Amino acid sequence: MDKIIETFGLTKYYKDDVVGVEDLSLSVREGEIYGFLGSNGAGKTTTIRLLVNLIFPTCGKAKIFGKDAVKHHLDICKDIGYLPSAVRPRRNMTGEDFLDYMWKLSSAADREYRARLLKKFALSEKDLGRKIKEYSTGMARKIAIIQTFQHRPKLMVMDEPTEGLDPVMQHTFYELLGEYRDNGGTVFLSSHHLREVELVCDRAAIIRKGRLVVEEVIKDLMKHTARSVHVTFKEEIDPAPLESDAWEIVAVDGTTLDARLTGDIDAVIKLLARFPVADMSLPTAGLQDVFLDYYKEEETQ
Amino acid sequence: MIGNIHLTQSLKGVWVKLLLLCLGLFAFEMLFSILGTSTQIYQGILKDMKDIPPIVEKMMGKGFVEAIVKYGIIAIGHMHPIMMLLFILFTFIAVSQVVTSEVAGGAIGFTLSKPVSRIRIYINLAIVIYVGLGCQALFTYLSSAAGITLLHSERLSTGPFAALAWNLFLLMIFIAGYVAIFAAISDSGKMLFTYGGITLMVFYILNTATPLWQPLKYLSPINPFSYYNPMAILVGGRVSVGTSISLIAVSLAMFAVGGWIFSRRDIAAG
Repeated sequence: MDKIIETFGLTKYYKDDVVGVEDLSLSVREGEIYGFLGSNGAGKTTTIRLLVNLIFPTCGKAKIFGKDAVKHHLDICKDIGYLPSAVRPRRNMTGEDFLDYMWKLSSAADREYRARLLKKFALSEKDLGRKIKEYSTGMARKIAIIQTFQHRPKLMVMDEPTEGLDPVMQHTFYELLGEYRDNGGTVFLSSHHLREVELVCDRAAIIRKGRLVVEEVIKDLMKHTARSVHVTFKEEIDPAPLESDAWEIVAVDGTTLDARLTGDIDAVIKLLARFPVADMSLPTAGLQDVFLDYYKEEETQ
Repeated sequence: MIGNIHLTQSLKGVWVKLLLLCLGLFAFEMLFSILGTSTQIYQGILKDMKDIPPIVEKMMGKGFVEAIVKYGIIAIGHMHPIMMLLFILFTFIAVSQVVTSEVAGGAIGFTLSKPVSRIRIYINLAIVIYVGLGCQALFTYLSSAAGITLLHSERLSTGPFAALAWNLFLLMIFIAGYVAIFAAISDSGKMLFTYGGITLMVFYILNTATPLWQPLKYLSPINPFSYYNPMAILVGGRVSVGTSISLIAVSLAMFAVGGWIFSRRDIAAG
C-alpha cells in the first residue's frame, strides 16, 4: 500500500522555543482513516497546519503523495480536502456562494454528489441562501464538511471534524467517511474524541507534548493495553495472596477489588478461584484506556 | 485561472463599500461645488484670506491662499484632512477585508488548501487596492468637474482637478504600500488598524510640523504626505513624470516586500 503522508523528524518551534511538534515521524497509508489523538495543546493542530502548509517547519519535512509538502504545495493541494478546526468559512458569503467558490478553486464540479451531501446533512436551499455569519455553529460546520468532500479529493485532512455537530450529524459524518474510505480515499483526522477514533479509524497515533508516543492499528493498540478488572467477593478478603505479576491491584475495599490486567488472564483466574467470588467484570480495553495509559506514563515520568 | 477566482471574490467583497465611498465622495465634493455658487460665502472667504497669518499658509502648503481665492470653498474640499480620511478609510477597508475576513477568521485556511499561491492572494490584494483607489481618484475628478460645470464660472477650470486626482492617487498608493506591509504581518484587522493608523498619524503630524521645524525635512522622502500638495496644483502646479514614476515604483516595491513576508509567514489561524 502506498504511503500518502509521511513525515520525517517534523519539528515546529514557536516563539520563545515553545514546542509545537518535535521530531515527528509518521506515515499514513493509502485508503486508511488515520486518527491523530492528543490532549489540548499536544500538537495535533500544529501537525495539520504543517501538512497543509499554513505554517512552516523549523526542521524536518513532510511528504504528501510522495512530494515535499512545502515545495510542491500547489501541486499537492489539488487533491486535498482540508477541514480546519472550529473555523467559520467566509462569514459574508452565503452557504451556496462559499461552496461554489471552493468548488471553482478546486476546478471540480459534480452537482449530483454535492446535492447528495447537502441532503445527507439536511441543508435546504433556504439554508444555503443565508449568509454564513447567520449560521449556527453546527450549520457552519456542516457547510465546511461539505466543501471538504464535494470535489472528491484523494486525501482529506481534518482537524476535530465533528466539533459542533449533533450526534445524528456525527453519525452521518462517520457513514460518509466510511464510504469515502471504501472508494479508496485516505483520511488524516485529529480528534480528542476517543470514541470517534475507535469507531472510524483504522490506525491511530497518540501525540503528547509535541512528540509521537505510539502509532499502531487500533485493534493492536488496544490489545497491548491493560484492562480494568473489577471483582466483588462474597466476604471480606485479605488481598496479600492475590498479588501477582499478571495484574496490578489498584484498590481493595472490603469485598471489592479493582485492578489492571497487565499479564496472563489464566493466572488471575486461578488466583481468584481460591476466593468466594460473587461477581466479576472485565470489559474490553477501549481507546480511552490506551490514551489514559500513555498519559499516565507521562505523570509517572 | 484559479487566482482570478480569488480576485473576483476579493473584488466582490469590497465593491459595495467602494461604491458607497465613491458616492459619498461625489456627494461631498458636489456639496462644496454647490456652496461654491454662493457669492456670499465666496466674499466671506476672500475677506478671511486678507487677514490670514503667514504661518497658516506655511502649514497648509504653497499656494494655499491663492487657491482659496481662486476656487473659493471648492478648494477646501480638497484639503488634506478631509480627502485623506476618505481615501485612507478605503485603503484600510480593502486591506482589512483580506486580513480580517481571511486571516483573522481563519477562512484563509480554506483558500490556501486550494491550488492558489500566497503570492497570488497578495497580488490580488494589490489589484483590489489599486482599482479601488483609482475609482476614488476618478470620482474625485468627476465630482469636481461636475461641480465646476454647474458653476458656469469662467474663473475656474477642470484641468487642475485631473492633476489633483492623479496626485491623490499616487499619494494613496504610497500609503497603501505601508498598509500592505502591515497587512502582511497582521493577524487581525485590529492590529492592522492600530499599527497602520499610528504610523500614518505620525507621518501626517511630521508633515504638518516640517514647515515649522526644518530638521524634519530629512524625513520627507519617506513621508507619503510630503508628495501631496493640492493647493499648489490648483494654482497651476503639476505632478512631474519623475515623481509619478518614483511613487508608483515605491508603492510596488512595498507591495513586493509585503508579498515576500506574507509568503513566508506562519498563518496561525485556520
